[in-house]
Amino acid sequence: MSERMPPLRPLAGFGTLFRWGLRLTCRWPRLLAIGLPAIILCALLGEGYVGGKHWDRPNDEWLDLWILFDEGMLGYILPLIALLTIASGLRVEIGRKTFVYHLVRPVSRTTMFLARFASGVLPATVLSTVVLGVTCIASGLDLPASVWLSLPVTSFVTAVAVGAFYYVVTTLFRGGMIIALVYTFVFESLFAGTRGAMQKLSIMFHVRGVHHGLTDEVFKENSDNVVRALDPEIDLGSIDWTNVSAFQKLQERVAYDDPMSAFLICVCIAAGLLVYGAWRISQRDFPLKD
Amino acid sequence: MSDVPSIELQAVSRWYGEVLGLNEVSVQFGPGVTGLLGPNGAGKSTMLKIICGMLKPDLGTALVCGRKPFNRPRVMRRVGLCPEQDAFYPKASAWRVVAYLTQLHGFTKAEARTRARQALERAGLGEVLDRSVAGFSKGMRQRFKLAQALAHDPDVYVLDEPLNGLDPSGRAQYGAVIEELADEGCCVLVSSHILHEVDALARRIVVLHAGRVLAEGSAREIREDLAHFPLQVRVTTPEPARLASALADVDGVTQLDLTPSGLVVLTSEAALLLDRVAALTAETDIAVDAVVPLDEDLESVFRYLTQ
Repeated sequence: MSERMPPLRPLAGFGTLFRWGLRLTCRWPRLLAIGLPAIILCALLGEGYVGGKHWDRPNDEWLDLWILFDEGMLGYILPLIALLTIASGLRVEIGRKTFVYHLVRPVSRTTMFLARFASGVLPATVLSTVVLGVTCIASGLDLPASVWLSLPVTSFVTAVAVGAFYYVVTTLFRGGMIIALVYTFVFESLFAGTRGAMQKLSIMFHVRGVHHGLTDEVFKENSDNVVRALDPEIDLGSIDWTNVSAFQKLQERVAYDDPMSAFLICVCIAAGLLVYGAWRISQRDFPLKD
Repeated sequence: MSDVPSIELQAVSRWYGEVLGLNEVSVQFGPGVTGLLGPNGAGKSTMLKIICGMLKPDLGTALVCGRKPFNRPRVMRRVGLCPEQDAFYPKASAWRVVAYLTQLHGFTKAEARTRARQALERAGLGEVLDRSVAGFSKGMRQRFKLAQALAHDPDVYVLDEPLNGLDPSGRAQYGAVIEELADEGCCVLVSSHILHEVDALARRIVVLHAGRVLAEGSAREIREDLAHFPLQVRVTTPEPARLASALADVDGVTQLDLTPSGLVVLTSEAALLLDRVAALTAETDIAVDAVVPLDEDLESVFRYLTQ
């Protein structure tokens, strides 16, 4: 009889769960509801903000796009896309109680957990890449191929790193969505605005490290202001602008790690969170009552 | 590991905070249909969830085919669960959902689709394979839940309140499938809070109440145990006082209550009482409109068992 219960292959059922999760995530109404507002907003920002009038610094389209990516895209838009596409993967199944059908299948809870995460990462990456691409097109700048190629990388790293955090908190905690929003709008801003090594507590700090490592050279080549903004040695008092707060803010930042190190840190953050989440899920009871 | 499909609980206890869900329950289930009977809150669903590996017992051991089920997915190759709750994907068709769940058992896509179709047909949903489960009636959803449990051909079936919402023909059809499974040598566990439902399906019944096993055996054995307990009978008549005095000397009658809805008699010899009532209506002018036993509901059974 033992042949009726042979050991499971590692990650048995992953592909089936992944495809089903993808099917649930990639419903057109859902994708449009998330993607369309983001695309419209980014098109408007790309077209209106880049090259627009800024009172606290000189007008410079390359600097505008650099700041838009750093603050708008990586600060809010990409994390929100990750939140909306990845976070609810398993929580919806648990809330809808369809998870009960999965618990009585020869599929480990770890596999379920990881597969549903992966099925959120793919659409989040695609959607984020599209949104970043629209911003670039709308900016009207002639961006080199290296910047275009960095977009899916940045999107993927955001989806994996911050997506893992959102996914774990929403799966494990009932108020996970609120925790995720508070983290995005309060803690990330708090970390980003803090002087010194505290900035490194932010997940997005390391995502920014990957993004800037891949794109900063291009922006520096095209804009002296970007060079000045990133130069911690420059004497701000020597610059004849009425207000240099944006530069001060940028210069207070801790230097990013090189892109490969930042990428590895992001992967480690995601792996740590996912291992913890999978362990908690595997130990947990699921009464799934009406 | 057990070759024969079996379930065994050894002194299993389970708490929900300070509430005791199961209290040192030891019971075994083998091939054939076993009915798990109990009122709401008796611990039936807790027991079934422990068997299906969704809950971990706080004390004791649960074994399914000789293995602990909690977080042991490979045990689930042999288990088919029909859950109590109405859980479904709002947009997906019944066939697609069953095929997906069957595929998780390692079947190829084509094989899973064929099995899903066959299982839905067996459950009586052959005509509505492509319809969304969201549009199904309560009875059709019960059949859908049976189909997803059948499709991978397990030999341990755990059916939690499976007949809720089914019409009489649906119950008959469902019952026939359960009988077939028993004939195939499967271990089928059916929970219900309705006595006659379980009575019709199961050869063996386990009665649960307040997290404990109160009685187990065939329906006849449990009934025989209960025969010693007094039965309440309501006799509807326009002359309850006169009838009460006529019935006072019947053997076994221990209490007579005049109520607005009729005369309520407490008797340990129901057959004698019925004979006397029949004789009175034939021999005297006392009219009797109805004689209704009040204690055939499950609550009364539990009341007797807990006395």
